[in-house]
Amino acid sequence: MRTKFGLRPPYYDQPVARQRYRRKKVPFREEPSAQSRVLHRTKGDTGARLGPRQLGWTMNERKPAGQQNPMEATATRSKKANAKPAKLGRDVQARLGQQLRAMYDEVVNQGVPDRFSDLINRLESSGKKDSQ
Amino acid sequence: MPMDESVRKAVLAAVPSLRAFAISLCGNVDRADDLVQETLLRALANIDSFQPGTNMSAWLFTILRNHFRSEYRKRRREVEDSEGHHAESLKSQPDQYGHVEFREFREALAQLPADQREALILVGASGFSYEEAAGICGCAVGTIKSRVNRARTRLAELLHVNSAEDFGPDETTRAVLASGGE
Repeated sequence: MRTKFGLRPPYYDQPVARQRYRRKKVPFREEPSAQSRVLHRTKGDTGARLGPRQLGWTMNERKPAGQQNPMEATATRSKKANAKPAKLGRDVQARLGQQLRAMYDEVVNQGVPDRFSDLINRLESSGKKDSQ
Repeated sequence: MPMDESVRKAVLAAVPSLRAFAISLCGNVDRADDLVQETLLRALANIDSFQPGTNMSAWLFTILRNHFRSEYRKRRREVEDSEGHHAESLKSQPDQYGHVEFREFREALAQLPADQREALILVGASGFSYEEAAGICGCAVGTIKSRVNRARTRLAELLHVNSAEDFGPDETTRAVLASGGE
């Protein structure tokens, strides 16, 4: 068949072929849902047309600022509160270390009490006697 | 028991920090001194097992720590019935040594779990490296690191410290200072 666009393929005018070309292939479902009826309307489908409202589609409404999901908001806040004590600031660590060392050095600066130097000397002298 | 002069000096040099460690472990000066004495006796009796050239204080710390652990376990069984009384006596002990300004800090330190406290003291005060502290406590380096970290965090919590400004003069002193400045 000749048209102004040239020669059309012979199967183009055959009804079966036409249907095959037009029909969209969709996975078989037992009962097509309302949504799929809209999306994949077939030739003989005379079902009532349903708009997005009837189908339950809603627009993606923007929530007012500051009023986001309260669950989410508290979740992030408590996460922050939990995370805070896990990492101490350098200044805090330094001060803790200072206090710790000050407490420790107080004892260290007392030197060796006589009790221990005597003990070591005594052990040493007794050791010398044993070895002689 | 032959003892080198250098060994004797090394032992004597380690005694002050050994005492400080013992006091911070058991929070009682008298008991700590007993602990140090027993440690020294044990160490000098087994001086042959000390490898020359290695860290003498780390060796002594290990002995002291192990001795404290075994003694502490025994004592805990003994004092279990009079737990409250024992805790009271421990609490009042820190006043025996040192100033009042550190009392709060000592009390907070005493509340830490024993393994965290010793890790913090070994690394934070005695100046041992993480590796040396791990050797003294007989555990992995990572364990020491996490214990030190947890100890610091807990200490800050107990002292209600969130920043460095929370240290120093208490509320009333600060108020007086502020009013006097104006």
